[in-house]
Amino acid sequence: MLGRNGIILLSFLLAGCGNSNFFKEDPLAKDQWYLNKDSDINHSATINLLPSAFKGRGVTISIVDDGVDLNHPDLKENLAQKHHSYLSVEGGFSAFAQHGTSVAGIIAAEEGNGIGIRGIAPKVSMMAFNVLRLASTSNLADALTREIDVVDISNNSWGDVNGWGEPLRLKSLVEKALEIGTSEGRNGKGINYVFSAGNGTDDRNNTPPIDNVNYSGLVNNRFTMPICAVDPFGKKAFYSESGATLLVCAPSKNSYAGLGVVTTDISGNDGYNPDNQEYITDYEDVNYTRQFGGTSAAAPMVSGIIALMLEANPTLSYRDVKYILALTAQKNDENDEGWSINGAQLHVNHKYGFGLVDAKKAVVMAKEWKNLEEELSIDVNISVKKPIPDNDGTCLESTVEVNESLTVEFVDIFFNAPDHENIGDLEIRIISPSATESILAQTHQQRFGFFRYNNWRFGSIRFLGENSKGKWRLLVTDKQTGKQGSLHDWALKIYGHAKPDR
Amino acid sequence: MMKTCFVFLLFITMINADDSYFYDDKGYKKKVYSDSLTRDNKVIYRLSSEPKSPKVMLSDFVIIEFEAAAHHELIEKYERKYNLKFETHLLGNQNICKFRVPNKNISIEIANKIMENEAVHRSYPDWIMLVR
Repeated sequence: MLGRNGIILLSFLLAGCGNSNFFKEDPLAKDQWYLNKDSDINHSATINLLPSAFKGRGVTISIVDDGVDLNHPDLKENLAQKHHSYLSVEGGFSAFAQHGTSVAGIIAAEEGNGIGIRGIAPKVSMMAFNVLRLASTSNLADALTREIDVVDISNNSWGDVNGWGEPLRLKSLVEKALEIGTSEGRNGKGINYVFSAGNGTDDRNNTPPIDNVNYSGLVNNRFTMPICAVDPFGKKAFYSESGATLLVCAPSKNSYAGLGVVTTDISGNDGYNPDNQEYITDYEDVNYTRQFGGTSAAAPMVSGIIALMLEANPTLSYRDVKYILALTAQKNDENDEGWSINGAQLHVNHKYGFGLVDAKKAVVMAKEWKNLEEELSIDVNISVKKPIPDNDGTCLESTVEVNESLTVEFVDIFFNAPDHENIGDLEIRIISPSATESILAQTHQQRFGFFRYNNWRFGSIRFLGENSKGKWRLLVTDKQTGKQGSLHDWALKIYGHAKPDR
Repeated sequence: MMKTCFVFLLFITMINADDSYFYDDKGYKKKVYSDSLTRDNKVIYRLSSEPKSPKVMLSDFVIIEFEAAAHHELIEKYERKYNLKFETHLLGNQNICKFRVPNKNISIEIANKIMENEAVHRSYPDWIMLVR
């Protein structure tokens, strides 16, 4: 790992490669508060993008969304030709692509062209797949593996429609697509699948959290990078889902009329900024908006940064990228009680993952990074067959001793309690040998109540960099009286690489 | 009279749909509930009895995962037998095929029938999911 002095020295070198006034020729760039602190807007959370020679050259990103406006004057220069429409009828690729167009602008709006904004990776090559217009299982699987020999990053600012605390399993075909993309994409280095963490919770009324990234099969696995959202001051956005698989977060909008993410909007009078808006003040130039938000806006910021990292070091695997983003993240919302230090001395928080993404540090570290060793795994199955105490102040604890040493990258926990009739009663935690805790499920309202933990896979990235060897403890607490059940068994699968520690 | 018959048949169809089932991508038999109709009369389904549970729609396709690689003759056989049209192999896997069905309203029924074949590992409708 690069030492602190090395990072500072390289930072100066990289800064010297660019124009220190890089917002000058893009008139709306001064409003892009999320890029860095140069903006006049009152805020503190930024992705720390500073002038650099790296702009995403030679890197290709797929925008897996509702399409992209192919004629947008600030995007068309960076759009490759291999777009794909999942609609059986011609046309409509650009016209109904308001979400994808706003995502694309954050990543790759052209810089220095005298109009609009600048993207985080203004020289990256984009291709658009409009799968959200017809999101069948086979189409989603196709979109995640399309142009597999070319795509380096797959930006996915979408997810399951949830918000009701029901776990939604990943379709086997989509899971296969992610496996193929990470094992065969980029000549075996793996496509970087960036996903928005999800907007399925609401903190505004002090109600308990509803959804959690661990209830979505799309973002609780080791193949994807779930990105959460923080407000302009680095605090959790009210809708952003928490959980143990969050990698890093990025700035976004936090309220209906609050400071939004400035980006491109479909050209003409449609989109987020139509010319007849009555209630919200937006730009006169209807090709742009300052109203974009959600974790949909946070994910493309990280995708853009990964493009810079891959230009700086094309040998990075998707596992390397995750590791670097975690190691270099900023500790936002410093006084939040949810921060802890894991066994590898990384700050981590169920609300923020490893913290707010830091473009400058990530690129600097990427340049000097030595690739992680081959991925290894450890499997352990634990039979329990014991009742879970029903809200009596105690919990069911099950432990397992792991004898092998790996540097942990990700952990899967398969939880099998199929006879418990209300999963919302259960708080499930796992504690590593280094005493780091991951909350896998919180007590929550389950809107429908038909789901059972039938070998449900939870994930956690919170143990990143720790040694796998030692005692792992699973703690299950039923916090509501009434529905009861037992823990039949659970399994632990640890993914990582051989020692020594990095 | 014709109109009354049509309404009656539609009613019967909807009632039957509430009792229908499908096999999911893991091979589990699950109930499916018709929920409502879109403006262009496409049926919206629920995969749970709860009225507000996640909704899905049928596409024009079924996905068949064969026990072994689906060679040309096998594909033709299924095309003829179920009036399907082969669309593509999925994820470069010769075992997994996507077929177009003649009418999306019967794709659950067709997928269920195909599941009864010994050469078939999985057969399920290519559901359109709601994502955001």
